[in-house]
Amino acid sequence: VVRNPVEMGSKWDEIIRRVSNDPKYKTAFAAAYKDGVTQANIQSALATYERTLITPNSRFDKYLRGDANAITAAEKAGYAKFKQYGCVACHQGVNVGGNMFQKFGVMGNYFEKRGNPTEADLGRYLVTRVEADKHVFKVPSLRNVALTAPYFHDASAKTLEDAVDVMFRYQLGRVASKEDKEAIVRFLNTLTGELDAKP
Amino acid sequence: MKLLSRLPAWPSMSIAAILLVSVLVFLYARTQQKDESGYFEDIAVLRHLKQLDAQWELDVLKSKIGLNAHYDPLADSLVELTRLLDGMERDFAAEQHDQAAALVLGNAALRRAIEEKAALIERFKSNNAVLRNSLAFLPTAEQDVRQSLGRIDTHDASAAERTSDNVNKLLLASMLYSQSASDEHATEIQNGLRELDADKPLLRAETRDRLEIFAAHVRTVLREQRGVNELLGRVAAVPTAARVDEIHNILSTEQQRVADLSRQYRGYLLVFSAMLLGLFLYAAVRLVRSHAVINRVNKELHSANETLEQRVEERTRELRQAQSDLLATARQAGMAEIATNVLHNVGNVLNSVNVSTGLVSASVRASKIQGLTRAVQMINEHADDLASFITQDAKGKMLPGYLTQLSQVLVAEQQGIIGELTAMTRSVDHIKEIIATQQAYAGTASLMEPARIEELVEDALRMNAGALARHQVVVEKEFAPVPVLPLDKGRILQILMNLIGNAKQAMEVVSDRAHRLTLSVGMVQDHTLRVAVADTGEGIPAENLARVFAHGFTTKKDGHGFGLHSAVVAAREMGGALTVHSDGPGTGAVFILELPAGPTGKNEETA
Repeated sequence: VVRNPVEMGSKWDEIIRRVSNDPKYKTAFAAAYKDGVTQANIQSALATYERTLITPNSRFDKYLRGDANAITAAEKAGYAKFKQYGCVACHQGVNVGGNMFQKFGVMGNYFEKRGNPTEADLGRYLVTRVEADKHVFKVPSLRNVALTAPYFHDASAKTLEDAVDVMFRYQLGRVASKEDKEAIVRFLNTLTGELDAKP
Repeated sequence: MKLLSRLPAWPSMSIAAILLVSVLVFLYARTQQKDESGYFEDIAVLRHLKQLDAQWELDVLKSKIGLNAHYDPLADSLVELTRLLDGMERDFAAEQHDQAAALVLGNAALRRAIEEKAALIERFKSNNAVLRNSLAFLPTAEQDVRQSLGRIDTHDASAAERTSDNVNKLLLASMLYSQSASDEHATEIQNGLRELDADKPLLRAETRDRLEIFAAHVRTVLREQRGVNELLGRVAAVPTAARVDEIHNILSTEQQRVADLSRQYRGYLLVFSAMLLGLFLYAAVRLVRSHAVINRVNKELHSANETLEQRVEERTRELRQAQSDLLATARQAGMAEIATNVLHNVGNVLNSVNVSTGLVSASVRASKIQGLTRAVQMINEHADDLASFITQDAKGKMLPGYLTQLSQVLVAEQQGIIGELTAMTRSVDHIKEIIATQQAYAGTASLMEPARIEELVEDALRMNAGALARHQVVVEKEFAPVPVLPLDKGRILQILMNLIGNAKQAMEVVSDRAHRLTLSVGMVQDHTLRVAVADTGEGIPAENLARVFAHGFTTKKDGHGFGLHSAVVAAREMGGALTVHSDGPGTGAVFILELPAGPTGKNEETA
């Protein structure tokens, strides 16, 4: 998955180097595994992590399965906005995103506005070294999005509202009313799955 | 004979058979070697790959025109494609392929093509998402601009009018451009955008912002549509299908080759089978012929065997005849020997009879009976004066004295004749006895009668008595007490006669020492009668000891070689044995006759 171009499109030695270079990861791995940072241990850690991500049966899932009362009218309206504003162009599919890459700042230069550019801002370019991949990131899945603050690779958005705001400005290149944004955030909350319902 | 000579060829024949079978198995294996299912599986995988690839491209196009709501099918296709590629790679590595290197290369090329395509599609997804978003938003943005234009009165109505027109045109042009990305539309859009920019300063701030957003999206459509189209072209240009076909071709050629090879080997197999069949037929013919030969030989052997049996039977009969003839001859020879002895003894006795007869006739011829006759004549002449004559006459006076003398002489004469006649009578009796003995033994075959062995020995000696005496042989007898036993007197006497005769002859040639014949009789362990005839003759050399009993063996100038042979045969016929012992030339010899005495021997010992 890590090397799969559909997902991360990275390489193992690169990953190990990066994980090892992060002192926090290093100590955490040393605590969890006898031999520290290795490919096998990273895989194991990722697998453990990903098991927590399998959170089916969100309220939205139930709604899609035909339970009309699974989400409220306001949330339904948020879903409509989500589609209407074009969020669904990228955050799409079963996982509501996570199946493509997209340039951060399609409709406006996010990094220029934010200032203080870092290497991490280059995104996929760091892996592919293709000019076209500069500032291109994986479109994240929005499942459980309400639980995974802060948002973006630079953790610049502290709340969902902030994140939705940034998305509107730089990705959609549109302005939306406060009510519409709130409606979308309400919808995003329905994507929280049953955390304890592990298979 | 043919069969026999072929026997040692078995090992080589079995080796040949093993070789033939090996060739057969090898050829068969070669025709079966390639499992075609592998090929067909690979082909199926390739078809699937191609289909998936096409589906992938179709999904891309669907995404382009908005038929696909999301990109999950694109990702799914890639996952499936990668899975198939991996499976095929494993197959190529695991299976036996003549062109494995080419296949691996083909697989790698296909993988590269798919990866390239995947990368392109990835970019397509990004661009297409933006394009579609902008396209979807454009009408809304246009509406926003027009609302803004219409709602608030502009200080430049003509600019507002133009802008509204332009926005409208741009929207239409963008839509058209999204359908067919022609340069014409692109220029139109760019012109429209320039006109918008030209009028922008004349508009209010709020309208300007909205116009800005609209323009940005139009530009985005322009940019992304170009990118998407280019990407689509490149996606379509990625030679995945060609790569699949290449692999397909390699596999097909390989399969073709394998099939050709298999066909070729099938041909070989056919030829080989025909050869084997021929060989088999040949062998069968040979076998049938061999069988006939065997049968014939068998028949011949059978008849030969029968003839042989017949001949053996004949020969056996002849031999038996010869043997009985021989036995009869030996018997007759033995009897002749006895007869010779008998005649010899009779001759001896006849000698004395002759002498006695001569003496009697001489004494009778010279008898003084004449003197008596003359005295009787003188008495008759003087019958009338007999008294005077006797008293007066000179002659007459001598007569009584003469008669007295005469009677004395005649008495003596008579005594002599009677004596001779007595001797003659004895001799005649002796002859009668000898003849009676001979008659007792001759012609009586195997007659067992109670007898004393000593008497038989004495008889044998008596028959040889004359000869033994002539050769100054001292006979010694060592007789142990032996019971009366049932004995075949004829055979035993024949044997003893033979042995005694041999001993006598063996001693004839010896002159430097005494001739002694020792006859001993005794019992060995109560059940065997033992008679030994020992001499002090010339002896028997060791090399002849084993041969003396052989038929036809003799050391005598006029011998016939029957004597000892018939003796040993006779001993065997009686259930006994005749053996010989000699320390060598000059030491004499001992012949030992042993006969079974039977279990009754002990009981009769006292009798």
